Amino acid sequence: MNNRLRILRAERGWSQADLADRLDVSRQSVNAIETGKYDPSLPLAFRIARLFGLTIEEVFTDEDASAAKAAE
Amino acid sequence: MTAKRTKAVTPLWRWQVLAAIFVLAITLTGAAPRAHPLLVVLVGGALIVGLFLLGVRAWRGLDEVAREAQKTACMWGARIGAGVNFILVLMLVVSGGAWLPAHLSPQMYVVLGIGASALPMIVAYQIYWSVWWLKRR
Repeated sequence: MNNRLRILRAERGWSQADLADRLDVSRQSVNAIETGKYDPSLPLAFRIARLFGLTIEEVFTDEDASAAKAAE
Repeated sequence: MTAKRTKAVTPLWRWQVLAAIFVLAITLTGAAPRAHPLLVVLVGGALIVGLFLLGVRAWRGLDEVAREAQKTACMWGARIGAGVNFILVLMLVVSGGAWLPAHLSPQMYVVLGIGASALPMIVAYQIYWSVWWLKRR
C-alpha cells in the first residue's frame, strides 16, 4: 500500500516526531508507515486521515487496485 | 503540542529480566529445604501477579506497530527458541548428560533446566524483534 504521509507531513512542516505525538504513536511507527513497510490498521488509518482532514483514499492508495485500473 | 508521553517501541527486555529473576527466586525458594510451601505459594503468587500487572502497563504503553513487533517476535522467537530447546534435549539424551555439571542436587537440576529452556526463547525473541524493526527502518 502506498501513501502520501511524507508529503502531507512536509506540507505542514511537521517532523516525524510531531506527527507521532499527534497520532499517539512512536516516531519509529510513523517512519514504518511512511515508508510503506507497515500498513496501519483501519482505526489508525482513519485517525491519520482525520488529522489531515482527508479521506483514507486520499492518504492511502491500494497498489493492486491502481494496477488493475491502469490495465483496464 | 500535547504534553502526554510519546509512545515507545522499547522491547520488553526489562520485564523479561525481571521475570527471569522472579522465576529464579521462586524456583530457588521452592528448592530451599526449609521454605514453607504456603510461603512459597504466597510469595510466588504475589510476584506473578506483580509481573502480570507490569506487563499490562508495558503493553498499554505500546502503539499498534510496536505491538505487532512484539506479537511477531513472541510467536516466531518462541518457536525458534523451542526448536533450539528440542535440539538441546536430544543432545542431552544422546550424550547421556555427560556435559551436565556434576554433583548438583535434583532441585538445582530443575532450576538449571528451567533457566536453560527459557534462555534460547528469550534470545530468539530479542533477535527476531530487532530484525523486525531493522527491516522497517
